[in-house]
Amino acid sequence: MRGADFLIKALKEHQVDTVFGYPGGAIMPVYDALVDGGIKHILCRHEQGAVFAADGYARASGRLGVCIATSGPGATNLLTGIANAYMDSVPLLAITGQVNSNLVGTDAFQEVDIFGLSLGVVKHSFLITSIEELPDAIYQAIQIAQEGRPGPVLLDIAKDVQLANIDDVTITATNKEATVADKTSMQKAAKLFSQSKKPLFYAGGGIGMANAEATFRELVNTAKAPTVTTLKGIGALPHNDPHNLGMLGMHGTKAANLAVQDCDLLIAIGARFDDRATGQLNKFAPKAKVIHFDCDAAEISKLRQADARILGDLNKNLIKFQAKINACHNNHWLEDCQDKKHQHQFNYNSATEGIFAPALLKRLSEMCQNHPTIVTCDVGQHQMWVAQHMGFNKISEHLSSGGLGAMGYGLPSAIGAQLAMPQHRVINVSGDGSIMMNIQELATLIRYQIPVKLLLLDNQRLGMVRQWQHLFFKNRFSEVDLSDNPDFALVAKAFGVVSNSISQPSQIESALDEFINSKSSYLLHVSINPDENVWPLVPPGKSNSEFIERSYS
Amino acid sequence: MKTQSDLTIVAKNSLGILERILRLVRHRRFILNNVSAHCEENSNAVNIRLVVESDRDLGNLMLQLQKLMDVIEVRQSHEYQLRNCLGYG
Repeated sequence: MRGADFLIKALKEHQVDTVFGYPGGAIMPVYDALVDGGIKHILCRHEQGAVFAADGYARASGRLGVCIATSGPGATNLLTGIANAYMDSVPLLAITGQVNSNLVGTDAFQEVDIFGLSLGVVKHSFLITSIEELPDAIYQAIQIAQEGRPGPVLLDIAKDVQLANIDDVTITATNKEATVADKTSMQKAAKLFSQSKKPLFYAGGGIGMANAEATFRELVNTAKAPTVTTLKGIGALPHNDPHNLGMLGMHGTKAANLAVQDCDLLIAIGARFDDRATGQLNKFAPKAKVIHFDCDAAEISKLRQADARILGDLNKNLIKFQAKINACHNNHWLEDCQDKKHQHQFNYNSATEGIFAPALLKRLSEMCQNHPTIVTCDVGQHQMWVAQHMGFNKISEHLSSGGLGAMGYGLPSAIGAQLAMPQHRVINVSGDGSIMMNIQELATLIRYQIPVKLLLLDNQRLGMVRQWQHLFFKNRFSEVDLSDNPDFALVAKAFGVVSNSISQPSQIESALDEFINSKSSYLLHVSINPDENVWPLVPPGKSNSEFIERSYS
Repeated sequence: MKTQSDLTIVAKNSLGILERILRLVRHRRFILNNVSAHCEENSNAVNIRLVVESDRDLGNLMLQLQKLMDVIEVRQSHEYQLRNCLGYG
């Protein structure tokens, strides 16, 4: 068999049923092998769409996401998506064609050193220039992408290697035995918990990556301590769980940020003290000792010194920790936090005319509770409104480009999520800026009849940039006016996607009803007021206790 | 306070290993004052010695280096503070 056939066979043997990609010269043998290789290939309409779709597939299902592109421009177009998977620890295999091995290094047609270009955004990478190296590299790549802290792995394969003959051998990637924390650290953590009067869980996306939601919930129920989540940790507890204070950080809830500032013990689990979560780091959780659970040794004490470091598999370590602790002895702490949550609820009355996006999203979320729903976001104001106002019951129900903050993530990741989870309702909430970054993927929805719903919140602005120009650049608005946007409902129709457009609050109920119950793909275009901003907001570099409230420009 | 440190790394002599290490050192805001690398005879390993300088935490750099797939071992061999001997600070 050829190297290309071997690759497809190896993917199949590792339960990869769907790959996303775009063909081209240096990857043609792999596309030839795909013709009868028994794997479903989804043709996206830009390589960035393919890699984001593979990312959405991986995040929604917990399985490996695979994308394929050709050399040169195909490979460079993958880079943003590879970086996205790197920042958010998503198990992703990016396969690129490379020019023939004798041409590598000669500036050949469509040759680019993608191995070199991607070094800073991959967990690991391989450039394969001889057929003997291929089997081991494939199996290692599949294994590395998924083990420990997941991440993207690049497999760059020269075209002559794809065509070279190889014996059919079967090697299976094996996962290493997960490590657990040492006894002393665990005892120290348990002691810190028993001594604490105000313990607080700080739950991150690692809980989802480790498939540790259930163990985390049991731990919270045993500890009876309040919980704040990161953007990627949303869904670690059900949204209506009494311990859940919501998201912390720049656009976090007041209750969450106040609890962090007041707690005397912060138990970070699969979270990495990102600047958007902590605000000014030396004023973050100023009274707290820290227990840090993570599978990556380099994350513990990277930004905040941990008093107890619990390294290794989250599931195992959370179970061990739970067995060593009792409920928090100070009942008042949880009650105080819950009171603050009640006092500082979001206000859904807008001072401006028209549809108020937070109220619309809250209503959409309520209407979606009857059926498992995955929401993907792009990046900007709508992304923060989704995080604040929609309720999620699992981490894998909320897909957001957290670390990288890549506009254009939403539509392709929704495609990947829908293909991974065909029984779920999949909604992409986007903005008028973000949607234009990968709008070509509307064609992918139609080609494969993928029933993704697209809710487009259109304020005719790059809203988040405009909000910062309002707050921090004296209302000097620079390149944020998108009032010459196309007619999005008409654009959708041109692709064959059913669409509707609304602008009045009275239209919301029936429009959302039709939207969520549509059997096909659907774009609902919603005109919203450009003067509405995201609140509360902790200004960059400030402490999380210094949030500012609503203002209009 | 800037600290100069001497690191010894043993790694698998795989494609781009030196690039990976040097890229990481730069990205994590360490200045490279000296580097040498040599391959063992009849072995697939490479020994790399780095002299790096930064006000960032060396322990975290070592953990980041250790995370690279082909790095086998990272050791700190010698350390001294520059402030006194070279007038930095």
